[in-house]
Amino acid sequence: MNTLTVRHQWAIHCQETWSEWLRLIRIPMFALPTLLFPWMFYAFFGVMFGRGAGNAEYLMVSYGAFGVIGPALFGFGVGVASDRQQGLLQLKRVLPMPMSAYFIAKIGICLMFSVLILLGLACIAVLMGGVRLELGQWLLLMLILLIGTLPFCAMGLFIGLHSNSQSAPAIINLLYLPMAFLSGLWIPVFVLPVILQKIAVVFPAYHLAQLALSVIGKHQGQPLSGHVLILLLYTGIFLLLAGLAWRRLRDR
Amino acid sequence: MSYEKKSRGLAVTPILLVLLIAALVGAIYFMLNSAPSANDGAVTTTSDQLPDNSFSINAVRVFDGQQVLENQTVLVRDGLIAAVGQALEIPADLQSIDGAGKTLLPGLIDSHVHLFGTARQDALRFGVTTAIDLFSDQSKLSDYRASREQLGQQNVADIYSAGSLITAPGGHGTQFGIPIPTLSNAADADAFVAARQAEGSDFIKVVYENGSEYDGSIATLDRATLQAVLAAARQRGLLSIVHVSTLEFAKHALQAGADGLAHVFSDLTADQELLDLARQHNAFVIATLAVQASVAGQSQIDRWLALPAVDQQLSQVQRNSLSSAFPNAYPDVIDTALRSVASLHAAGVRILAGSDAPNPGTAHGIGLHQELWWLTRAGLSPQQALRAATADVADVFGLSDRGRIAAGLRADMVLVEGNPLNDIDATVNIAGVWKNGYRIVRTNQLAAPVQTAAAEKYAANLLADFESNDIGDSQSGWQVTTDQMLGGQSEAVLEKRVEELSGNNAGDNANGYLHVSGQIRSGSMFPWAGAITFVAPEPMAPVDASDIKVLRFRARGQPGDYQLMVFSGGQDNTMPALQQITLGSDWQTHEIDLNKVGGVELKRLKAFAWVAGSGHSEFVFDLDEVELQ
Amino acid sequence: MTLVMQDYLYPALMWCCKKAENWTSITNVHAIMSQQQNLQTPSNPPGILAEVSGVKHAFERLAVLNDISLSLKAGQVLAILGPNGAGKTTLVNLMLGVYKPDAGHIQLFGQTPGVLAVRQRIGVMLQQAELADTLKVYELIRQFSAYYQSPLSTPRLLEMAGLEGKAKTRYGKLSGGEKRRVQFAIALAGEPDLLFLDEPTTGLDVQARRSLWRNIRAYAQRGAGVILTTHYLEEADALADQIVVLNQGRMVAAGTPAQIKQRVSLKQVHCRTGLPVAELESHPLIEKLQIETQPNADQDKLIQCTLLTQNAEALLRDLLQRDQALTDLQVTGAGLEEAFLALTETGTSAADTLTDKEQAA
Repeated sequence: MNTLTVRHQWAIHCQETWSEWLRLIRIPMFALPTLLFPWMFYAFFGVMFGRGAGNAEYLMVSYGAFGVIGPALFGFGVGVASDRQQGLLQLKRVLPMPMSAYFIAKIGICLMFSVLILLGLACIAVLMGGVRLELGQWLLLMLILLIGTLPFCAMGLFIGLHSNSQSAPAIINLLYLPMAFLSGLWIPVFVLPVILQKIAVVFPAYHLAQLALSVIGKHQGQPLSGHVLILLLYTGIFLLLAGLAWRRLRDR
Repeated sequence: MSYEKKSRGLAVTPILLVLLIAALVGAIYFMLNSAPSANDGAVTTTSDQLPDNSFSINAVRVFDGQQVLENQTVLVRDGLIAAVGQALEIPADLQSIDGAGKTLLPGLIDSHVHLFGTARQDALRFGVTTAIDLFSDQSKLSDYRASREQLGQQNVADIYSAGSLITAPGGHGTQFGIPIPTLSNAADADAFVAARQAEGSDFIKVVYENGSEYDGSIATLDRATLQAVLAAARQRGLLSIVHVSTLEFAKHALQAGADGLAHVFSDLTADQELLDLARQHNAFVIATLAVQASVAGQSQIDRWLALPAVDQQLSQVQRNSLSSAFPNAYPDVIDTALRSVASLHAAGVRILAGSDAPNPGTAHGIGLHQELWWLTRAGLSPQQALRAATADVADVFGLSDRGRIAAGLRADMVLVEGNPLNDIDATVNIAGVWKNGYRIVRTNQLAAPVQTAAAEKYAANLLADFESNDIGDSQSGWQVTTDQMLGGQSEAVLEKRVEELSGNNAGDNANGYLHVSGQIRSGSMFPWAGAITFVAPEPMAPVDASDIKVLRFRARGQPGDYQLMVFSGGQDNTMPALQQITLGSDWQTHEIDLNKVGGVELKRLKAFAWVAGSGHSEFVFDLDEVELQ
Repeated sequence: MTLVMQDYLYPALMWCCKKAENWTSITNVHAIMSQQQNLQTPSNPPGILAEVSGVKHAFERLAVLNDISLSLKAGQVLAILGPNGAGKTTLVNLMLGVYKPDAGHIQLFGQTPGVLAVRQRIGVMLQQAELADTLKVYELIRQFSAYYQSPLSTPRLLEMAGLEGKAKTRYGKLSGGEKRRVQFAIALAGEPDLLFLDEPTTGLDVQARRSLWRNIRAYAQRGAGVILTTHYLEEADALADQIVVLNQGRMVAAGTPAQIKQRVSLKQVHCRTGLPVAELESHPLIEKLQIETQPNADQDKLIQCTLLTQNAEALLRDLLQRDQALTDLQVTGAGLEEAFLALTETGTSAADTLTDKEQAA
């Protein structure tokens, strides 16, 4: 009785992830913008109006980064904030559910949405943009972008623990959209004025995009290890801050 | 109790947090400093060398790949063209280049070359920033791909390549001494095309050529196989380019669905049927008029060598290639080709500019400028000719990041003095070439010392005893060498044979040796045929053999005089040193003192060849125990 | 210290661990910790499900609970009755292991609250815990059932919570009463030995409340222990075997429903009187005296006061006899709040502060 079997743990994690998926996919306000915006933006700016210069390829990657950051920030930020406010988080903490299931479910749906977004972008890129990559490049790109959601999950968690379900979407949008623009996810970073290019280095989204762009050789040429380091540090800092908030939540 | 716990648990966190944030700030600061910055380079730039890939060109005439725009400003940032327009505001941090009186062209694209040696540097020096390679060593394909996808500084042209070509056993393309796969029937076509695709070919080149135009007869793919190959390429999404020489074969190729022709045919002028076919299939034709002119013996090389802008920039390799000629001239070829190109162009068929360098009479880089001039002779306006070397090639090959001057594209550009739109010769008056936004350094090749890599020190070695190792199985083994390289028709066959020994060598009862047989035919200024072996593992790579004094070998043959060719030196196509050897019908050991052979540069020794020359018709000789000491 | 560090790193650990083996090692930590705690504390006598003794708890230096002790046997229903802010929910959270008490002991099934073995055996319905609106009733039940090793079947739970026919309705489309039933069904999912119901019927109409009572009573009759909090005396009376009355963090009464009801059936008498305060304070019929205005020397000598009494009629008769000036007379039934006030010795005095605790420590 003291421990759950690995099999039971697995079942709980799966069930929790599936429930979270059903819950979010049925909220059109979440599911539609998260999936459609990257696709639409990319189709318009990346493919229809952005002919030439390997733009379709570049922007597929940068909109991919834009796409996967969305569910990470919103799924975690708004999700945790509203779970907390509704008391659902409190309830789950007293039930015999391992807390890991809660986080794994959140990460799981974030990855599921990310995969859908990336597959959609890839289809648009291949069918409409004429983008051709090698299989290895496709897979590596996917892997980087999926793993790269983790810093943003941590940021989302931090925001979710510090805001309520009304303020969380506003806070996240205030962060997400300017960050996406300034990190060169909408238009290539080198098109931005020099001062903005320098500011871009501050944002984790810039570093994720650069890592992903390195797969197609279109990154800015800064050391990749630096991008990885900064993403890891962001992850660490926000996890630590979230850990503090988590403890405060427990003690209250 | 629990309060104490809480406060201690919390005490660790701020410290950790501060450490992490400090690390983050440090990392961001580091990244900022390693960011490719636009103003760093401007301070230290000289007119010759701009290490920076951000700059502007002002008040310049721009041919953007399609049309001419006067008095434009072009902004380049981080290797990409950021903006093109009139009276653009120039950011203060950008170094600016005065373009008054000059014309800015997109980096030129040569749509028919064969890579060899220093081709990529030589091309770039002449403003050819991208080349379409229609047959070269397929093992380099992934290097080409990686190189052209990056945006960093590089001093070579980008390459899109067909890799190995698709030809019949013994067909055109097999004569160069490089072993290549061949296709013999339609059933294997798809697998063959798939293999090319798997190797990394960007498109395929198919040889459909029976040699009839050049008074010869060589094996070719049959029509069914051609159709199967083109169908396979279409299905696999590969562009197909077919090499033809005759009107009839050109029609076959177009009917079979070729996307384009690698040359204009030269036996007959294009007729209405062909024009209709080409239009119907929306096919393109790479004219390669420069090489057709050379085939016709009218390459007019002096015209080019007389231009100082060209003369200074030609490397020895380019110079040699330009100055050489095909062994036989077919004078009608160029007029027929010019007429065909004119009527194809008039009919609206897309003509592309390709040099077919480094065929005799052409060379990498300069070849495209020759081709542009020849295209104007076929009735294209300078603007149309330039399109055929820029935007049109990019369109046909789907190169969306180059071939034009427009925002967002790679900053591959050529700045020339004067206005090539009035006078096409102006294209060689190059004031600057940028690749990926980096200005390349164009040194005067006449003044430049021959650049060769320091060769590896070579120690005494047995080159071959023909006991165990096979011959000709790899590039470093023994290969046939004949005058076919220079258009001759001599032939040779290498064979490893074993001689049964009797008597003295009881323990070693078998002795392998190399048996060389062949036939010398006229048709080359310098006919030869025989066997060649390379000193280094890589063909024609130089090694430092300054410690070597003697080449020793055993030989016998049909009695007579033969030649030993010794290849050495820094350049690729210098004539070999020759040493006459006399063979008898019995085995005899020969010792050649290499220091006494005129013209051998032992510091850069490359290869030895044993050949029969002009005094022979059919010949036979045997070689054994070849060693250097 | 270990425990604190581990809790605090919990989210971080979750990120880092990807393999199933790691999950097991984390749960092993739980197991080891709970075993250690078992060794430290003597196990309860058999049959006692929950034992709370001398519990104190404070938030931000403000004492919320003081000296709470109670115990619950199998098959019993315990109601924690008190007005809003009395500390009922805090007490439940302490028993669920959400917080650790600052002093005193809490044990469920002889173990520390919050450990997995305990969590497997309890069912919880929190006062404010809304479930996901977009999930259907059966999906929610299935999700929460998955946590238990041998959960009741979904149809059975639907039946026990009176949710037949609602299985495929989305939670967001249910009425308030139906939502509470879904939460109830979830609380029952693991067939718990001990059921916590925090204000289960708050906000429901009479009909819905009574209907849910029936289901609660039915479950209690199966032999499980139930701890419920409520601010309705009626609810405590209808469901509980035992009632503990909390006010301002203190237990002010404990007993059977009959005993409690008897103690809180008070009447309030408001009046202005000229009688001396000492006489009022010593009056046998006055349970509690509350002075609203002191006598004013310049004007009249009357004081405004509220009196609590078990027997309003007798008290009035007596007062009218003693004080001819008695005026502004008003008699009302005392609310629960007033009843609790009456039951507390200290009345409106400020709650204990941490300063006391620190001195005690």
